[in-house]
Amino acid sequence: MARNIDVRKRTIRWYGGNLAVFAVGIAAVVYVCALLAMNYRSDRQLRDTAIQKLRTETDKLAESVGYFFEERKDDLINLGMSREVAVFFENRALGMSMKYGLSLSLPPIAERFSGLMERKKFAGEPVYIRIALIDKSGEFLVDSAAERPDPQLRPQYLDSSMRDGQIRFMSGDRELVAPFSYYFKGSYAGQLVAWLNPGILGAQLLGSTEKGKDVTWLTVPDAGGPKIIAPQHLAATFHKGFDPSAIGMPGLGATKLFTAPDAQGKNRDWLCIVAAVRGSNFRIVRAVQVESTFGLFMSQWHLAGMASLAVVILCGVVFTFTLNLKSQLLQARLEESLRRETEIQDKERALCEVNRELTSEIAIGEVLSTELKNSHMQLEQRVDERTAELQNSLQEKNVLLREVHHRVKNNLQVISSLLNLQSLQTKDDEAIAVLKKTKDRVYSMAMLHEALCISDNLARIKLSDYIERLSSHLINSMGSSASNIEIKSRVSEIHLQIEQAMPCGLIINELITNAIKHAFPEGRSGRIMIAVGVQADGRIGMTISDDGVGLPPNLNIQTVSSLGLKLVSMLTKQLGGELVVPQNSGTEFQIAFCAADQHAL
Amino acid sequence: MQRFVPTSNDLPYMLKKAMHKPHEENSMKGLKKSAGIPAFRIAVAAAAMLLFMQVAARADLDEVKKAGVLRHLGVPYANFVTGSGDGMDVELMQRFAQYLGIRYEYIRTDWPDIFGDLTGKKVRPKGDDIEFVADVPVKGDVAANGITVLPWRAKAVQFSAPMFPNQVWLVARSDSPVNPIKPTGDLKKDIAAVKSLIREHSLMGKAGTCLEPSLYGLQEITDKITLFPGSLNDIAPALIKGETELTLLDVPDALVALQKWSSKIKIIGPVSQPQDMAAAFPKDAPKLLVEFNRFLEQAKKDGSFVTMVKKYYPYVFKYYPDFFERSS
Repeated sequence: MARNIDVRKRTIRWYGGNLAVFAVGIAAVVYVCALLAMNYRSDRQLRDTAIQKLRTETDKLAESVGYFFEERKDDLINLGMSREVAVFFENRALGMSMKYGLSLSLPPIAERFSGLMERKKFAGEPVYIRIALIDKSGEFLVDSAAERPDPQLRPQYLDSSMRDGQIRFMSGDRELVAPFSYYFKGSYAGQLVAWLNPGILGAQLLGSTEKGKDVTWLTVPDAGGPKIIAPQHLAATFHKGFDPSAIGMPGLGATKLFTAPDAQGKNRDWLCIVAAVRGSNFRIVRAVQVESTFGLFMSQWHLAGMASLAVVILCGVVFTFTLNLKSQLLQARLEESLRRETEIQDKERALCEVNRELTSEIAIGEVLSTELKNSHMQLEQRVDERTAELQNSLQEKNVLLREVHHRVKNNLQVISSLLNLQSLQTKDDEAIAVLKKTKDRVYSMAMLHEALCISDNLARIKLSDYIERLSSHLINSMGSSASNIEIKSRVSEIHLQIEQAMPCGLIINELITNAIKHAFPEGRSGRIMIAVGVQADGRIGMTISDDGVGLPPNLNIQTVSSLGLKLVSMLTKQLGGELVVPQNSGTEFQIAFCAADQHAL
Repeated sequence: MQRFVPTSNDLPYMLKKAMHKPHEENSMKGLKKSAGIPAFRIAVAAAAMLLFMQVAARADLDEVKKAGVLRHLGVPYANFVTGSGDGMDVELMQRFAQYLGIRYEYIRTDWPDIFGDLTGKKVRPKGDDIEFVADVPVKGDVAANGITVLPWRAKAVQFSAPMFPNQVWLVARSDSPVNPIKPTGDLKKDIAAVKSLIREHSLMGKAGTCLEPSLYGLQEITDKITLFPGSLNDIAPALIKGETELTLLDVPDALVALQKWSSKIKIIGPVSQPQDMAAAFPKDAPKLLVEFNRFLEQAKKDGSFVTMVKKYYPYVFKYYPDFFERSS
């Protein structure tokens, strides 16, 4: 509970400290943002006002140029409507000749032209540098200039559609002219063309660019975009090093910022404004240096400055906040350390108490341990003694059992000897054979006990040694009749208890005896194979085969009358096994049974 | 110029055309060679003439209406036919075509051919008489471009009611020592005064027109007479350019020249009696003539004719204030 109160207090204190920092920081940032917004807004307004002023100036300029053009149009239209020009074409329509009537009609026109050129001046400069009346055939009827234009350029002046007196650039934009298509009685008769003084347009109307602070030029829409006409050919106003064709023109009423070199070739920011010239397709394009118009501190600089101030304040707030946070963390860690130290001291005291208890318990344990050791030693001594007694007893039992086996073997050998002796006394061959078989069977049993006697383990015998000795005995006992027969055995390391070893020995005895007697008639040589091993299914497989004449065809092992084979069948059942006699060439008996003892394999 | 495909209704016209040539030839020859012509030929010609006149009187206006177009023969001259599609006579004939309810067509011709194009007979003057030159195709229905009514012309064509005053004036350059006479109110005296000024000065006229000096006996006054080879319209410019000291100009030309070069020429005074200018019609189109005169009278009455005159000859009222009042 006390700890929870501490945590709450600490939390309140932490929040209290940081909230103040937060509040100050947010207030500072909001204040800076407000300043920023207001500054930006006022700067934008200032800039908009300046742009509006420039636009107004440009519009006024365009209006001046438009008025100038309108005056020129009026001049041309007045010329076209003049009686002097009409008289010429009237006279020509009447069929007057150039020798008389027509030539007389031209001087008044020329006088009118020269009068107009003399009269029309702008800032002391003549507005027109040349005026001509061109016949629709291309002949210059009246021309204030002595030199006639290049004949190749003459057709450009003849255009029956120029009835509005619109100012145009001709001769590859080298000439600024006011052409007027003259119609006499509804038919195109020729062209009135007035060449304007480009210096007026450039120096007087568009303004000088000597200061390099602004550039004003004239454009005309073209198929590929706005085509800049002046000041390329208005050399006096052209700003050297300035390439206006590289600038995309903004639309009417729009502005565009771009970078271009000034008079000194230094790159500057320029603001471009376009205004339409009234009553024509011309545009006034004015480019002013941004620096000269808005000063160095443009809105973006203000914006950047204020933004950087805001960032600095924000960084300060964050830094203070971070310091405060670290301080709080350190304080919290210190308190935590103190708390842990107190806990450790408490635990240390508790551990000392436990240690004392444990020391006393260890002393008691040591006494008990000594007692236990003594008891253990006594027990071990008693176990050793009892083990020795048991080993002696076991040895005695083994000796006794070995003696039993030995005596059984001796008895069975005696029986076998008796049967042998009896057979020697018997005249009947069948009886002799029966006796001999019986003797072999008894002997095979005796050999089993003998093997148990010499075996280390009185409960099992090694099957391979037993089969080896049994087969040797059988070959030897058959005498000359088995001289050409060879017995081969391949027996795995299998140990069988006497309960299973006995039937196995009798089965082997019966089958080998049977093979020696019947498989190799008339002294044939052959081979008898005994193979014992562990099958894939875990059972012990025993195969006795020969390469003799084989069993009679259609022999049924279950119904055969032979004692030996009946015995084999019975012993197999005793083993709990399975007998199989394949019908192959030669003879083969396959017996499979399970080992009674898992240690047999 | 084939104007239409003849039908049974056109028989009188065909007959007229068939009879036209012998009649004209005979009539022309008759004027000069009446002696020695067999009586029966004269009788036949007279009968044919009568027949033709009757047929023509019925067919001329109808034929034009049927054709649906009024063909106006004109020579660019002064402000009657300007050569550029307008002029007083052009406008008048356009209104006449409109009055008839048919289309207007202007056919340009020249002075030597104008009457032949109208009548099919090219003639030339011989005193107050005419001399047949050749048969030519008929190209127009009416000729109007300020044609002065002269006796020889009246033998080739028939003229409408007077449309414009004319007179032959003596004209000099502004800087000429010859000064205008002071009108006395007696035309004969004025003409005599003018003629007296011609002496010792070169004079220019134009042959075959009303400006031919011989028409007014001027060759007896001065031997420095030249006949201008160019267009009538070029005579005033030629004077201004110094080709001659004095020239004869008819009223329309002089008025036009005054409009254009008022400061360069001056009118000295008349050398002829007043004349009339009128539209010319073929003699075999009396109905068309009557219809035109009716139309002209109506235009004069409603003031539209005077308006037209003012438009093209504003100065004429200064010199002939009574002509249009009288004609209206």
